[in-house]
Amino acid sequence: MTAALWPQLVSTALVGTQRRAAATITVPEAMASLASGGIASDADLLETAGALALARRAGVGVTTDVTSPVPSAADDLPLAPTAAQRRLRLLLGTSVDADLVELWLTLAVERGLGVPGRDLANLFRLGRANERLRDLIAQVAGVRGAWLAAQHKDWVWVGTRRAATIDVDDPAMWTEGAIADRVAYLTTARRRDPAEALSSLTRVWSAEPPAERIAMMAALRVGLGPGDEEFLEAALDDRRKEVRTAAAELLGALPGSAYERRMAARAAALVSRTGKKLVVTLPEECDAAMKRDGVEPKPRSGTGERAWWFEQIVAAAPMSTWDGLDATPGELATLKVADDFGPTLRRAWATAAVRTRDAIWAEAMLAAGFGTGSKASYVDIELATSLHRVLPADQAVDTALARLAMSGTQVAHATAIVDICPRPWPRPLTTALFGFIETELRGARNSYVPYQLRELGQAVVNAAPPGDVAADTAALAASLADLSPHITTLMESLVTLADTRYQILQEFA
Amino acid sequence: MREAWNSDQVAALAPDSSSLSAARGLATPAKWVDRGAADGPPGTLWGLAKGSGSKPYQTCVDLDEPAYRCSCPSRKFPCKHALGLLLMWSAGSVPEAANPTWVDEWHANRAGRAAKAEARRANTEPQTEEQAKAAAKRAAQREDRVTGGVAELGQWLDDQVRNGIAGLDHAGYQHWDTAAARLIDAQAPGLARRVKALAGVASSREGWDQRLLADLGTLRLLTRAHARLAELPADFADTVRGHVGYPVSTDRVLATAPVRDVWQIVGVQDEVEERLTTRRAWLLGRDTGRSALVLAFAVAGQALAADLVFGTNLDADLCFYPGATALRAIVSTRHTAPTPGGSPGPATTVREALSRHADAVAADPWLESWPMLIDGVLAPGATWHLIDRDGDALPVRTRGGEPWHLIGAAAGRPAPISGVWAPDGLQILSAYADGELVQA
Repeated sequence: MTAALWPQLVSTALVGTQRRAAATITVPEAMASLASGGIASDADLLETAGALALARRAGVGVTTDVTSPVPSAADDLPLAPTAAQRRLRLLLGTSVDADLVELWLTLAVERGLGVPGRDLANLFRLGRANERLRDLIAQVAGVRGAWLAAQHKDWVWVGTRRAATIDVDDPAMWTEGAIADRVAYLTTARRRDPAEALSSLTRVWSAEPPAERIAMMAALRVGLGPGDEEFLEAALDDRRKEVRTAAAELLGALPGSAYERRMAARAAALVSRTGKKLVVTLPEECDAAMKRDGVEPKPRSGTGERAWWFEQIVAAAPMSTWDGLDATPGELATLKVADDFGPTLRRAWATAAVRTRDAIWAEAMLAAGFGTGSKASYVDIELATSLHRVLPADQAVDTALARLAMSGTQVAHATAIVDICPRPWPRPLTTALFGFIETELRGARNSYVPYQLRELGQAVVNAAPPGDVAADTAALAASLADLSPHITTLMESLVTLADTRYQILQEFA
Repeated sequence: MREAWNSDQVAALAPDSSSLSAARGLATPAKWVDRGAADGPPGTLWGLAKGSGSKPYQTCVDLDEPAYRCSCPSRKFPCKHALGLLLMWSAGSVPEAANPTWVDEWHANRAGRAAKAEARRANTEPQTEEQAKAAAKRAAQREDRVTGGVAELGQWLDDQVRNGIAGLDHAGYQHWDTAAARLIDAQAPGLARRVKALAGVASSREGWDQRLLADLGTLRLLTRAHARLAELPADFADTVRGHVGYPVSTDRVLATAPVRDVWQIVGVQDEVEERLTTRRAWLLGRDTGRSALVLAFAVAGQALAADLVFGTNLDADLCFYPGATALRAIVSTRHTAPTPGGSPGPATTVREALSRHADAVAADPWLESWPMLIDGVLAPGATWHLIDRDGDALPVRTRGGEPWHLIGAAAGRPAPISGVWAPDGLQILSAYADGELVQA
């Protein structure tokens, strides 16, 4: 039997006919017509190879061992209107503006509408890079989107987000899973039965490596209660600092804990009131008991160590500590503090109010102007926005209006207000934010527009109800028309953005 | 009011991606002083675009041709303003409005120019005897030069197998480019392109030696065929000359019998190679079932013909280039303005499509790509497949990106899917699903 022709041709061509003569190739009988005169020259070899290649090319057979995919079930969501569909396709083109896509998706979700099948893959690609769009995308995906996403490894999140919360209750996840799986299992277990979950944890705790212990502390925040105190007190003596810090934080969040009482006692001794003045006494030392409770002995740079210990103790104490000073939080927030300790005390109170999510204190601190003015540090401004986030929705809007009317409110806080206030915004909030932008633009020392203000403008236009913002932006642009070319350019881009958002809204009508 | 083109169709008109993204920014009423759409004829979009100067740019589009004009200084064609106007139109944001006078003037000017060109063509004198002689002499010279170049290529191919092709996977581009350059000098651009492409085949990893030998072999057959040009049947000789790269005059193509049909534009592909952009429009005749390929070329910055719009139907006469397998064509006469296309047809099975491909290769062994329209389902996987209703499948080429959006569009149900078959798989062009033709 002669060897197959093609492999002979390839191997001869590879080594070259000057080493292995073309004539050594044997042509099988069935192939004789391809090389009638035999293969004697280089040209013969090439032409035979060419003829064979063409025969294969023309004779390509069908593949029969591929199974057809199971088609998607019937679509469950009605599609967005045609104009809105076209808009989405434009938005998903080359340079994607995630805020505009978010608006589109929000409008579609509110109306229970879906997207055309051809746009699903592009949306999923966008969601892969934009975490915050994922919930919206999962909702417009519908049955067809879930079907599509299940076929692609990068789109698994579509399915998991569609099922609102996932429970991890396979015990194998707890005994053999990776850290993330074990924490997920423990979190689910805590949601169901905190005490039972804690006893599962205590059984294995001492044998767990440090990294796992640190990760598992996070799960205890779910279902935190008095039953956890004994475990957490013991964790204050853990070898790893991260575990100790987490334990102190959790104990601080556990009303009536011994830890809380210890901190309250320490803090109460440090602040007293004489008439209309508060007097601060700094701690003399950071003793072993304080260190055990998570007080960090080494100060951050620029702070004296005793002031630093003081700040940490006040920040970790419960707000009820200050009932003893016999004044309302509103009064305390405005009282004078002796020896220039005011900023330190107020920063510590703000931290405590954020930590305990105390809305009364948060409101009082914000009303007292905490975090405003040119002396406010970056940390204070951050804390002020965190205080603002503690407030319930309706109060957040009133406080926002008050802050925006206050002199010395920082652009950063105004920007935070944009995502703190629940949507849709009431009309006065949009107006107040535009007023704030106008004041800042008019007060700018030179003709350039600060980067922060540009961002704020875009954020306001992106967040306000499209119907309100289009008119407001156009009015503001007209009123600022002659200020400077930079401001004109900024306003033009805001007007375009506002118009686009308004059109998107109209397209859903 | 006519139905607006969809944004894919508009996107296919863009000369490059930066024009398209600039146009997206302009596709909002805030960027326009005024705009309107008129039914015509000719169907017209017009607009006054806010520019950097005080005077707005005058932009208009003749939707029938289509043709574009804008007073902006851009040398791109169509410019971002025309594209922006089209995008707004496709989003339904261009209201109906009568043409302003400057638009009517433009239409009148163009009609005047077209009439003059027609008159010039009609007046062309027949060639004088001397001119004919000179032309024949030039053709003979060219034939000599090409014959020399092809013979030299045959030698060069033989040298490759004499020296052994082992190692050519690391030979680098120079090895192939030098040979290709000699073929350019010999006025055989078709062969030059094939030789240049061998560089990619040689560096194509696993199995490169098999693919390279196959290509060297078919190329050697082409040189052999060229040597016997005089003995070949006329059709086949034209095929060989076409692959070698002899020019075919438009007049000669237009002299062939036209094929009238409603041509469905099922695919538009742009390929940028160095400074040259090639646009391939794939057409399928609704009644004849014939396929056609219309090519357009542009060097960087130059306007690409944008008159064949993806997803539209065109009732027109096509004239095919001479050769044994007629595929490449030019549009000779348009009978109506393009209309939005529906579900393309006639579609075939995988077996039928492969059998037609085999016939086409038998007629033209050097055929590189062959269009197919198959009713089937796309199946993603390590290798993607197109599976028809009989369960027969073809591998799908996904090197340029996996067409997941088509999977989403068809939802796993059979749909007419068009593609171009090449030895390494079916390059998908489009799928018709959810009532529209979706580009791959």
